[in-house]
Amino acid sequence: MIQKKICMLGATGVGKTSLVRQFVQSVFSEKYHSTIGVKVDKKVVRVDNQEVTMMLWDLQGEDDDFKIKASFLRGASGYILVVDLTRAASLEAAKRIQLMIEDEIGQVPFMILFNKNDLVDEIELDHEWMVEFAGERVLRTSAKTGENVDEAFNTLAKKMV
Amino acid sequence: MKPSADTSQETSAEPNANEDSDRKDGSVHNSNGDSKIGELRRILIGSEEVSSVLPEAVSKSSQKSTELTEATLPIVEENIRESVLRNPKVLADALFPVIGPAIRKAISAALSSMVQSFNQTLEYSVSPKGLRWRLEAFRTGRSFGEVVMLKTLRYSVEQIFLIHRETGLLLQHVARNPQDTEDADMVSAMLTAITDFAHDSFKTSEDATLDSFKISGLSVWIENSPDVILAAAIRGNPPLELREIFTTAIEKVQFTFERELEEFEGESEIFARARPELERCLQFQAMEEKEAGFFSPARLMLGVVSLVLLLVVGYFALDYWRWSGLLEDIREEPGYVLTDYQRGWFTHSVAGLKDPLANGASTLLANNGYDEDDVALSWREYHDSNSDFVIRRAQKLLAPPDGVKLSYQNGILAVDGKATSDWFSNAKRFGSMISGVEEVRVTGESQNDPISSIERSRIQFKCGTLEYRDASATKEVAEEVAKLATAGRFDIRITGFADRTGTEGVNREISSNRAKRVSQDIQTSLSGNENAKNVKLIEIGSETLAEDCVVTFKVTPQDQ
Repeated sequence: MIQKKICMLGATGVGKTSLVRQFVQSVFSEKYHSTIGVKVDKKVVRVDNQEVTMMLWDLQGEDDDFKIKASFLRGASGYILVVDLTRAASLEAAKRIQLMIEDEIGQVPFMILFNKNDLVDEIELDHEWMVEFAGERVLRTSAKTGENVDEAFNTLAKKMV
Repeated sequence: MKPSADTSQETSAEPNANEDSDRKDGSVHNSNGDSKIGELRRILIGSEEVSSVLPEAVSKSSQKSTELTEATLPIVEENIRESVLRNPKVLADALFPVIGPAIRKAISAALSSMVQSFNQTLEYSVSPKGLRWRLEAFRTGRSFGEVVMLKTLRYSVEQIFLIHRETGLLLQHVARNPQDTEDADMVSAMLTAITDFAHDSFKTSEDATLDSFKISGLSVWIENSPDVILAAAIRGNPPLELREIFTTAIEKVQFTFERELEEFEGESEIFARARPELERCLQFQAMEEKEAGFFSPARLMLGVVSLVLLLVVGYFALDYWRWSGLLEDIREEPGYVLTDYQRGWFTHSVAGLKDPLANGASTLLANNGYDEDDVALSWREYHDSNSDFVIRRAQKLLAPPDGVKLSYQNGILAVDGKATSDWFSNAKRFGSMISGVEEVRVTGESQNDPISSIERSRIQFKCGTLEYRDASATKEVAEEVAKLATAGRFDIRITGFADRTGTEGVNREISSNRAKRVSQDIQTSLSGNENAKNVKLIEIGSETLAEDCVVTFKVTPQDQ
């Protein structure tokens, strides 16, 4: 069995924790976000007949009052960057976070998820912006409906192994 | 391992079949270098030199370090596994001689552990200490087992986490309780996050790390090496020396797996070899029972309480023993019937029936250690139908003279022996009134009493005359007087009577004459009897008129 450390990042309120909750059954309380800034969950997935244990470090969202602790990123084999489709500002925050990640841990596999795709009427980001940031393979997700959630994590797992 | 230079020189001079073989297949050429390679191959594979130095080399390596053991461990394990898969019987046969003793030893150890556990359970369940701990558990809301563990445990290393320092991924985890292994990888990650958080938040220097933290009765000690974190979850109060064990372990892991740690990509299986080292860290030490002085307050109090308890129990046991003895004695004592009894704390009571002629109850009380004040006695009178009591009652009522024997059976009072006919007559008359006597059977010899015989005698005269109605009557009286004369000195008052006819003077005269006539006839009969002088006959003519014309007798001893 292979273990991989994966960090969930993004601006505050983009839906990181909801995505994780959709993907795994949490053990630890979410209050750890506001206390030590991170909560760890685990999900075992199968990639090419090999079990991969994904240790999901769900980091507290970055905002004006809270900056992501670099030490939490150390040793990550990949990361998921979450953008809120209904808040254009979250895309700018994601760009800053990605720069910080590459500065801290270098180039590692990652996924950029455009979340809250279920709120169709409130979407602020147009497709060009998304493609500009994430490339042609833009993955829209919804933590509420579960849309593309498993696919996002499984894809990242494949990239890492 | 390589052969020595000397060995190399000696063996290089000899031709070798393998070398020839190599030449034939063309893979090794006849150059100088090829020759050396062939020689080396011959030494390693074909020579006996290697086999001669190998055991010694293995032995030295084992003494020097455990590297050889650790290196060969997977091979040995794999070989055993393969052997079992191919033919289990080979290994089963080899292990057969040790399996039996091993099982016996395991059962013995399990039984011993069970007995110890049972003893501990008993001690903790019923002892004052156990009760105190139960109270504490109730008061603090903890389970009883947790309180017992906290009180008796000095420390116990419950879990060891071996964590990759950079990624926070779990490399290995060992636990005293197998159930604690669940979610160890997430605990490992969170531990790393906490240490990172502590480092970032409170760092005093770049290499500052979180050493330990404590949650209630559980401590987490953290040791760091360049690539590894060793976190130990410890219950109780561990000594500082324990850190040396952890430090030694983490240093050894760091040293042994340096390359694997540098190249770690998330595969942790290889670190399973570190488990023995980690399991050595699962230390445990029970708290030694503090030896209290022999006369500790608790022991003194316990002693006093025990003594009082012993005295109370002893008193009541003794009293019970005495009481049982008393009841038994009363039941067995003739003339008593026990109908009710009650045993109180300090005084007891007994009620029943008692024959008046039975022995006194005070003797029964005294025989069993009681005073009369200790037991309230309440008896109602009854007559025991037992033969002894019937005879006792008969003796008391009839007062049998010496020589008379009374016996009783089936309602019949038998009277045997010698007594006067009067006594026998009374015995018959009054004996049947005795409780339990239905019939009086006299079988004894009746002895004639001359006095009563004389006094019962009445000499009849024809009225108005001095002529006897029965001439022999005076003679019988005279015979009785003769017997009486042999027994002592007596006065015999002979009183004559007259009937109501005739005048007073005539009646007085005739009554006096009748007395004189009888007296003269008796004296006549006694003539020649030398004892006759012992009897003095006194004739009296009674003035009292009687129904019959008779003479009566009254005997009086002369010394009265």
